[in-house]
Amino acid sequence: MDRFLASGRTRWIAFAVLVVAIGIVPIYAIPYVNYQLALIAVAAVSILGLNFVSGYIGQLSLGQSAFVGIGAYAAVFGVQQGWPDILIFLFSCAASGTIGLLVALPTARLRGHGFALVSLALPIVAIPLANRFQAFTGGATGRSVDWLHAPAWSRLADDQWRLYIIALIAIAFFLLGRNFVRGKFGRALQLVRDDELVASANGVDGYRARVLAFTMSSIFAGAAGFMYLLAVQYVTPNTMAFLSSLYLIGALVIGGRASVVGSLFGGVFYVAVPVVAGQIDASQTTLIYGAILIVVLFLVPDGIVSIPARVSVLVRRLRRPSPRKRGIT
Amino acid sequence: MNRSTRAAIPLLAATAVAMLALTGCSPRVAGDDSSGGPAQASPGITDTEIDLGMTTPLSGPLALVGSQALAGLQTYIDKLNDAGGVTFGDGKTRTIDLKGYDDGYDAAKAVANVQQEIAEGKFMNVGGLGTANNLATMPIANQNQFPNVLLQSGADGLSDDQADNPWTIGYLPTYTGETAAFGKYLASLGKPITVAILAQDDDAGAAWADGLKQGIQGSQVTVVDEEKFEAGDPQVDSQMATLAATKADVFFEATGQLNIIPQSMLKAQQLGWLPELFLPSVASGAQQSIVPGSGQAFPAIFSVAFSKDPNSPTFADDAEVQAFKAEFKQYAPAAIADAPLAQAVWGYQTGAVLEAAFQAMKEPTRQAFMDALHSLSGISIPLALDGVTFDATGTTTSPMTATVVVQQYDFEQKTYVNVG
Amino acid sequence: MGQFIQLVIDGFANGSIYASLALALVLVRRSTGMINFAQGAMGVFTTYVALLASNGGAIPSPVAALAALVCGFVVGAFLQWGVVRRFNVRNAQTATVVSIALFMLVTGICGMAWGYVVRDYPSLFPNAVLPIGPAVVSVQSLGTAAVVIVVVVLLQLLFYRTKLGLSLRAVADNPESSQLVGMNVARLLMVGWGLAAVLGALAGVLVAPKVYLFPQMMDQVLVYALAAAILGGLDSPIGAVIAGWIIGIVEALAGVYVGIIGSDLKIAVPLIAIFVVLLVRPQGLLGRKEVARV
Repeated sequence: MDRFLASGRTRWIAFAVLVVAIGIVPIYAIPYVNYQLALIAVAAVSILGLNFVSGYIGQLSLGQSAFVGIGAYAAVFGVQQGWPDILIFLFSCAASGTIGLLVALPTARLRGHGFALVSLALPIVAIPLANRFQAFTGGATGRSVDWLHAPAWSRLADDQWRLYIIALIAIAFFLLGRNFVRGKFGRALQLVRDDELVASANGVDGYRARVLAFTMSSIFAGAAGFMYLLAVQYVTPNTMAFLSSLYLIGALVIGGRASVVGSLFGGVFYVAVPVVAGQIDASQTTLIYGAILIVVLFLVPDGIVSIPARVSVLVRRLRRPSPRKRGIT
Repeated sequence: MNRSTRAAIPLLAATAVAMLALTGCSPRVAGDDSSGGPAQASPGITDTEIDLGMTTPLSGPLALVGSQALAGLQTYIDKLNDAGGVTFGDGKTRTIDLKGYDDGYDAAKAVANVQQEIAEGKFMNVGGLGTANNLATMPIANQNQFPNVLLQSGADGLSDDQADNPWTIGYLPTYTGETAAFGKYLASLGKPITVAILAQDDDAGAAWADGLKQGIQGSQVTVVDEEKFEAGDPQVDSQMATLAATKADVFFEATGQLNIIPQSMLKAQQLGWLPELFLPSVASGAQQSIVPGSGQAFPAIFSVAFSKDPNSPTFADDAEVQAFKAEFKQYAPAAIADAPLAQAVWGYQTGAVLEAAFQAMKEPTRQAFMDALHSLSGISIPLALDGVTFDATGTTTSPMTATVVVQQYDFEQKTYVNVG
Repeated sequence: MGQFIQLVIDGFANGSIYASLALALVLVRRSTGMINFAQGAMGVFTTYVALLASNGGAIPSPVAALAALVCGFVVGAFLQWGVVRRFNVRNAQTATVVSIALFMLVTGICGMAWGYVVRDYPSLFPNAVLPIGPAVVSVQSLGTAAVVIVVVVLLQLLFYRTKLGLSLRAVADNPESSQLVGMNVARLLMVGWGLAAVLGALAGVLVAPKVYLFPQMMDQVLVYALAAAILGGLDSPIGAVIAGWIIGIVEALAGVYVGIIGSDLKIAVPLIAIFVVLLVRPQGLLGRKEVARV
């Protein structure tokens, strides 16, 4: 899929379609649809960040939801202080990124399961911490905000205006992410994943790569947290629940590991599956989610992003029988 | 074009079609609202049917009580439907359709669910359990003039500012009100009493603890220790060791978690600490807490209540309770039909309130419903304890705030009797 | 002082609980190379089966527990054969998502079949307490610890003294070579999962009397078990058990004696401690050091 996007013409076509769609859909869609699209954008940016660590550098991280929460609470703080929105956004990214860096510096020395365990510890510890600092976080009830209304001159409803802003941020971060993974940093990450010894022989330090990936991942999560607060106008410690991190990993793999476009598909999966499960039977959502996850993973083990490639392989095979069938061994 | 481009164009086309399909017919700008004019019917109600939605946790840590709330209301509604429906104040008889939405106690999901209910044309959101998720939905209810009522939570915030949030109202007595009553009872005993608190680390636990502290203000009752635990913690042994070491007179359980309460009771006994025990209403049931926790070891067990416990032997012969249990067995999902909890009872009571409101509703509109609901006072609530009344006319309280009764468990009669 | 001893005893008891599930995690890891996030949920399922088997108390609890163990083996083998085998679980991400999906599936099945009600589960041991100085220990905790120790011994015997254990280790280490020398890799993987599920079932019946039976019963215990398994060195049963005890005791003491931690944040302490240990000893307390050949 990324190879397809590399082709210049199709890249522009895809981009144009996306821009047009984002431009007109919010005007016509009902608030519920706009809200879900906003949540998809939040999930997609979170998953893209997570992809740096878990996809590109191949290191399982179970703590992304904690960083999203940090970004959201940072935004709450900014809103309460009455800061301009740009500053709030930067603060969300910076708060999350700084904590990510501080965590990454010692943690990146660990590998494999140790790293995963520490990442798991983050959401587990974040919730009681958030409960404790009640004055700031509003405790278990969380904080509600009434923030960023559509300006009068736009003649837009609040949900439309917010979706535009969210979409803009998401597009910007996707472009940023794409440039990051295509550049030398991205290649370095994949080299570290595939064979760390070879990487270090080539002058790429695994430790620094992991720190970088994890910090970038938390910056993205911070942005996602800002977007989350904008869409939901409410944050609770439960936002950072460990289960959300598990669902994010699941969505990441279903969307496509180490793939920018795959992260977008992952975002769609993350939001859509609970809705579908709720429609089938609201009382058994966990069971249905698990079943869907298994089935989809079985059908597309390399993620949704691999579908076009698989389809074209299938088409090719249908047109031309495989050599085996002709009796060649 | 190369192969992968060719392969991807159908994917792109599908995306484009899907996006266009999402759009409605006409563009929407600021100021468009979806609630319809005053005279015409609101969405979700026809001459023969009214459609309700409930967003509540049906998965995750609160799945137990959330699913009970849904099942309880569903039972009452199915009962009404089987009898032909409800005759509304405008003369028409309608059946009720209730759809549950799982929010897993996640605020973002609850907001999404309410928006989905509005998009699907439900008349209102009713009876969902939980505090954070319900608080998050209040602004959406305001913006869309969508009734968001009789929510199963004891949080003050749901009902205490109806000038700002006219479309939302809670149902339960507030957590603080409940335990303040107990605090006042302790204070009324007129002697120094020490209290040790085990609190779940969330809004409900905090509210229960705060209520107690309010109730004992200025009296000889003191809180000597308060220990917290997180939802999901499998055990509270270290907290109990600390609390037991205080040898306090009263052990105050500021938690509704049915896997923690019996554990804590057993642990206290193992550690040789036998205080008087307080259980909040949600967990006071004998089958849920007193029996598994070997409650008879304690000198006294107190609770507050406003509804009858369907599992208590006292009410085994009570006609209302028998009817409720039979109906629950008939209409509730098989896995829980034999074991209704307090939340199911409250859901059922919510159904009765809805029935009364529908009967008073003069027009098929959401505003008319809210007016009818707020006019209700002194109606009869099934399975309510004697002396408990419903009053929705206030603008700063939940309808059931006024009356909670402090009770003590009588081990011989195996029931609670009023003391305060 | 009495409180201190009590905390240590209780921490030790809870540590045994974490260790019991950690052993299942270690076993599935050693025999199939992956971490199974669904191990706890599978244990919950088998405990429900045990509850059914006990028929309201008509059947004695050891017999019902035995039924749970057998059921565990069947469920574990079946899940491996029916689900896990069809995915490339050599890839860590895929393995994680498969086990997460199984976790949701099994939890959802428990919720659907038995509801989210909290139930009593009878203990295998009598309900008595014994005094130890100024503190008390329950017979149940002693029994749990004893069972855990026995399991560790059995696992060591299995892995190092039996052909089956050797085969399991070979398959986990190098499935291709194992296949080439004629081992039935598919069957061995099923056995590995089956045995791990037996341990998970055992953990379930040991834990349920204390924490009460409901579908999410093992969710938090799983986190502790993971921590214990990783701290102990993922392939060491002894390490997992010792780590479990350490976690239980440290958590209990820190929650009480370190004021700033308090009872709500007590889980942070073992996690931080593990972090520090892993920095110094990445292979865990008793794990084998990973050597990369250049």
